[in-house]
Amino acid sequence: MIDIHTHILPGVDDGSIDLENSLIMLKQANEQGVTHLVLTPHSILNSRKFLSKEDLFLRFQKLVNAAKDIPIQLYLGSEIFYTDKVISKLDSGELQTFSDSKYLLIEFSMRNESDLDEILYNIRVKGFQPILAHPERYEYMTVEKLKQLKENALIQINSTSIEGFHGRKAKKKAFEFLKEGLVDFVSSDCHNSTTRTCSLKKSYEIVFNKFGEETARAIFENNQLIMIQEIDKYLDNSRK
Amino acid sequence: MGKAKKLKVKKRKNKLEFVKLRGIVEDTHVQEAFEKLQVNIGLASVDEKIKVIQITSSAQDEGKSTVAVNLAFSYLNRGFKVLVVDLDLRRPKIHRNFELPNENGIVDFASGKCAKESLIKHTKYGIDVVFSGKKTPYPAKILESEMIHNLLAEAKEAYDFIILDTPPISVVVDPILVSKYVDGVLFIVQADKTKKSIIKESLKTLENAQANVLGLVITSVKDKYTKYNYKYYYAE
Repeated sequence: MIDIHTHILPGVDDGSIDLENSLIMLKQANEQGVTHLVLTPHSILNSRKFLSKEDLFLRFQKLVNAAKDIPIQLYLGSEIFYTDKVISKLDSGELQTFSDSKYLLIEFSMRNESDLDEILYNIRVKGFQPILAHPERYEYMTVEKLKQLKENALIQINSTSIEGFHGRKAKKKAFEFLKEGLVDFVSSDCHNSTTRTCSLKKSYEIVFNKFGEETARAIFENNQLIMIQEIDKYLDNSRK
Repeated sequence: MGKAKKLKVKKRKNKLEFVKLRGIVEDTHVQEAFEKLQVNIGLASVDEKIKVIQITSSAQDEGKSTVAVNLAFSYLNRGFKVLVVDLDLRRPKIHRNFELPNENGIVDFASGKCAKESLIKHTKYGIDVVFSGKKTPYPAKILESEMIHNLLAEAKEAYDFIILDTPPISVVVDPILVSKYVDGVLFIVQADKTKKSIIKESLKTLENAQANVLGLVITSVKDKYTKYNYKYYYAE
């Protein structure tokens, strides 16, 4: 399994509170069969908690060193909350994409609808590949709207939505999106080691039983692997 | 192990149409249709020069932007200097045909957020474009402004043809405002889609506004003789 949406980086957002807790969360992820994991702390411009890429990287390195014995390859990203200035900040390289590659995880307000289609298009034509975080949790999202958005974004839904953790409506939408073949990734969006853990196995079984092995493997692992391989290649080229 | 689902973002539908319409050999019917359209507009210019052409329709998604861009290409292929301006400030689409971000546009210029020099984009295709820019709650105000008039006056000095993409008539007042400062209006109708009554009503609205309607362009005509499911016909 590969998890590309996690809040395990310690002490930066509403996710893991400290290093010890992060290590517990990583061990839990390992037990779930996770081999590669992207750390995606919330990144909200104009927030008191907003950290620069340099700050994030220092914390990332500390975690990587502490987690040496846990067999999970770690990558640094962020979950960017969209505001007006995001595109210009992406352009200037100030926001953390997945290992500074073109892939980035982006979320929008769950209640107030922006022109997502235009925003995601603008991000893509700037050379980035946006991954839309948990659209099943957005009140205004429908199958039709998501079909349009797929023209510019990859779609990630939460394993917890499939399990019903975020309520009946999010679960219903998650299944509708799965049924229509609109989902590219399922991720845990884990925040702690107790109530919102890195839980993937349970939702994998649900998807496996309902939609078949091919779909389950694709959205829990294979699609993520293709992206990770691209990121690895990008990192290798950057080092040369 | 199951087959991996390909990690691929679907290409924008209208971009594919654009490429298809522009130059692929099998689409010569479409190219010819645009050349005929160009000729017919020229014939309408006998009494007065048609330089600023407005594109509108009665309803949404009838192919206005596609016609605007491909007409521009048709002029470009004949050696004319062409500018396409996206004046559909509510639902802009022109930038999507060129895979460019919708920034530094009309609305941004109107609000002082970009310089005039940034307005005109010289695309790699040889066509110059002005995008709509950030959305505004007051599109009609911008379309009636002196700023637009001044911009067009300057553009007329520099370009042979200026093509303005505007919203559909049945939806908002914007195209009527624009019709007051153009030389002619092309009315787009998608075959087998829009009701005749709505088309008639839209044309009546243009007539009442004393717009110079050059003619109708009918899109998506099914042609049993070719394998393609769209053609463009120009009708007066």
